[in-house]
Amino acid sequence: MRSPRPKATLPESAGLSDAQTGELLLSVRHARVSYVGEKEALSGADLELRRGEGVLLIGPSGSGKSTLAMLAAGLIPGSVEANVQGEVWRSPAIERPGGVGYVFQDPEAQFCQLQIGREVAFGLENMRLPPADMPERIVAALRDAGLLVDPEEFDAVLSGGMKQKLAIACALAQRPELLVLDEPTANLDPQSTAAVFEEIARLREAGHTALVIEHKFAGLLSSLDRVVALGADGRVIFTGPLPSAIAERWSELQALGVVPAWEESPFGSAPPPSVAVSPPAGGPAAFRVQGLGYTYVKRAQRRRLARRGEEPRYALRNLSFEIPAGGLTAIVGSNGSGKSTLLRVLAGFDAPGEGSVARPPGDGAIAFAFQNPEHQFVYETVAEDLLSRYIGDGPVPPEASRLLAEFGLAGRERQSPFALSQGQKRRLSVAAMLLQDHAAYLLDEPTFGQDARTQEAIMQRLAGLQAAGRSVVITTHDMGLVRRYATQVLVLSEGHLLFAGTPSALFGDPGGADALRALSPAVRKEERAAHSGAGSFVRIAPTQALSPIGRLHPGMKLLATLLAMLALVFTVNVRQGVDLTLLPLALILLGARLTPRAAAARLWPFAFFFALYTWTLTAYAQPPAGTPYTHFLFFRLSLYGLQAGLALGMRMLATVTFAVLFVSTTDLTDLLSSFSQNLGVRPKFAYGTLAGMRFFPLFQEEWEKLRRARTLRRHGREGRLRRIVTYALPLLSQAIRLGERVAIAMEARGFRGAPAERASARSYYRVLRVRAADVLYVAGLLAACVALLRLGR
Amino acid sequence: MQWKLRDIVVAAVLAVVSGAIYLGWDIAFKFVPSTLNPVVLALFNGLWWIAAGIVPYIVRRPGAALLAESVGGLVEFLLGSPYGIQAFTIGIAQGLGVEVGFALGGWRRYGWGTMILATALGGVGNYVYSYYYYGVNDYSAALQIGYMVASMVSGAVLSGLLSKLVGDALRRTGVLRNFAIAQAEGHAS
Repeated sequence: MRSPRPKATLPESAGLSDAQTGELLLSVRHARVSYVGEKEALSGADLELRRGEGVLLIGPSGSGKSTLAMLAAGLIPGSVEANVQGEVWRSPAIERPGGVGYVFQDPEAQFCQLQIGREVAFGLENMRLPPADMPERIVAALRDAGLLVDPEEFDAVLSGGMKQKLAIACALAQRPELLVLDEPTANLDPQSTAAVFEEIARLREAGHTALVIEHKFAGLLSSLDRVVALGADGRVIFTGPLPSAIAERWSELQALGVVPAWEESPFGSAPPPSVAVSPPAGGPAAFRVQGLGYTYVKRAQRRRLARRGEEPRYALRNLSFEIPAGGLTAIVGSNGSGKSTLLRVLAGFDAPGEGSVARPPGDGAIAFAFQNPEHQFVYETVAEDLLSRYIGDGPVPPEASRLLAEFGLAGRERQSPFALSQGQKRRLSVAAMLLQDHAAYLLDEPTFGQDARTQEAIMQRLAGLQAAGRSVVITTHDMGLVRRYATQVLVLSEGHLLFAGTPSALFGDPGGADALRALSPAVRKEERAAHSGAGSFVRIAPTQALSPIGRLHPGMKLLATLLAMLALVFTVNVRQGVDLTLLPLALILLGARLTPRAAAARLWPFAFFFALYTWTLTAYAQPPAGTPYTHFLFFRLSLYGLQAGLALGMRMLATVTFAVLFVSTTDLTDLLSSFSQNLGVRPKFAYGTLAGMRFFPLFQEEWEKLRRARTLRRHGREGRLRRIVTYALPLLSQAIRLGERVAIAMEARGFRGAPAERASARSYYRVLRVRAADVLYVAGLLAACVALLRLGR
Repeated sequence: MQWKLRDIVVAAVLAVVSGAIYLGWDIAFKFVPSTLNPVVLALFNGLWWIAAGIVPYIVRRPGAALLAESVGGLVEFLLGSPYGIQAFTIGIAQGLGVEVGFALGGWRRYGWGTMILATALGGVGNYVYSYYYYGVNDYSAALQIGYMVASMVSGAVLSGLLSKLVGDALRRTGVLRNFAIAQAEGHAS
């Protein structure tokens, strides 16, 4: 499917494989890159890429892998401000929009549309592909990326792995010369990771040139040609053919902190031995769980289901086990198996729905660490967060400084915890658990998304706690870690306990083999939607979308709504208000085909405001001279005011009804797109705004997680105003980071220069034109409003 | 002072968060006894244009207040605000008011004084809109003045001061490194 590879035009060293003879696409020599206000991110890196090659880029965290990849893709400098020195040469083939397809690591932060098909189309619009050619390309790209979904579906329903495949599809649709995959599986569980790796293997077979950054590279060794390893200083320490270069340098990679010490080498040698010391058998139990059941389904919903003789979906079902005191227990299972739920129930954070949980007694006996350390940051400086109290400009207690130094956080006492790197944040949250003694330490995926060094530092700490007689319970996906450190493993699958025992039994006994099979990426289930109701706040039901009003031009509908509002200013009595409410109501029922029940559900919340406005004017209106009123307390009640209030209330009701008519029939994407298509608004404003708005459902989830984390970590009373501010910080800093990443991802897809600046310099997937019907609607609605105003006078 | 794509996306993201706050405020407002004097009720108004304070404070571009407040109001409206499309249109009025304040500073001044002045002018926008749409025209003159002043004070505190506080705290987290607020750090007014 690719054009034949041209023979080498530049001299190369001996021992060339087929791929290495391809045309040169990229050459980076002695590149030095530094970001504003930071130390050098890359100091003298080299990279060469030829057509048809597959290159694996590895290195410890902070070695500048992403910087090098973004430099290769032309995102630095430009989309990301940085100072660049050295030679960077890019072939004209990869300079065109979409010439480089870039897949970023965060599945939540690389999309800018709401629906799958439009997401793919966004890149094609930047290339000015005629809209007639788009549907075919979109379907083909989704198929090639292995994503079998309806293009009309909202991307919010996709799982993390499916979102990464969508990102790949977006890149493929632009027919890139080079694919850059920048840690595409960093946020994914083993099942989704395996699916993405399979996809990469397929793309390589189809002849795509690829640059892949990946920590968990064992599954990629056969599909890529060459490895480039960066050292901590950002220089290339070795490069060579795969897989032999990795096999030769395995211990070096462990020493560098590229792979954790417990990771089994993919080349067959025995796995690293266990270092765990089990507590003596027959000792006391830290947690005793009996017949535990838990469901997220709300009580009312459960009752409704019970009436129909149905059962709610249980997150945990009939679990019975003991966690011995002084052990290190690992809870494993694929995503959605109930691991995190179980950990929260153990912590006493969520009450069990059925059965009982006995836990270590006493206040503060249990310490808990959330998966995202940021959710637990409450204070403005590192030292305060460690101590859980406000110290302001006062001295940092020596024990805090000592602990921070032990965790590699020396000198950061007065920094904001949010300014730390991922690894530092995690280490801080673990250090905060250690400041006080607890009987049990519960951690939700403490090593997830961390580099090898941080993973090792944390696991050694936890092993130390266990050696000192404390109970440690973690959830994890990392079986190498389980083998090395755990004294007990609990395997969960769909809320059921498949296995409880020692790691050696899990890896050795026949009973363990069955449980392991359930964890294997090979037998993964149908990939499930991540969240069901997501995107609903902008979702238009098909009935409304296809209704006569649903098919009208969104911009013209907005104009009609605004004109109707203007007309409403002139209502003076109740009759006019009633008439102008009945008009949009009739349109809602007949023109938008909303059921009376649905219309009522959208309108009822207004009742309170109706009462409020009526009262406010009844009690405060200034009656014209000569009209009667009475003083009551400090109010001035008047019949005049009551009438004015009722009229105002009806005017408000009419406004709301017009709004319901608009909202229930108008697609947000179409509306913003029409600003650009028909009004000439610069595309970067229309699409940039849409990209920001699509985050809304995500914030709802973040807020919920934050709320949960906060109820656990009670903080001091000092500085109330300060606390409101710090409460907002995790959410807002997350919002800003996501927004920034999305902007970079949009530019990576060709949304810069003319297609972003001029409405006429891009094509549009859904062409919106103002037709006679739209003009008629606007004129008709305005005429009807004016007529009703006059009639009711 | 060209808008970069990241300024726009982040402005929209913050406006969306604000829109959710507005909806929460709409609902919280239901629990405030409506028998209170409108001047007292007006003291709640300022939070409804916090997007017009925080976003310009961070991105520092002409039109930031208007854009953020319009999007915030649009989100509030789309989420099902009981004010209907008025949530969006009053947002434009409030945003325009604040924008005038920043324009007076040539979109270059974002110190305490400018923040307070600009967000207080949001209260004027709020008053003008309410005069035509929320029956404020029927109030006595004294009540109208009280309503406007209370809205201005509320804006200066709940939108202006709060935005500056939150914006400064965010700047210290380092996430705003690539935004105008951090670049102005050295010579902030």
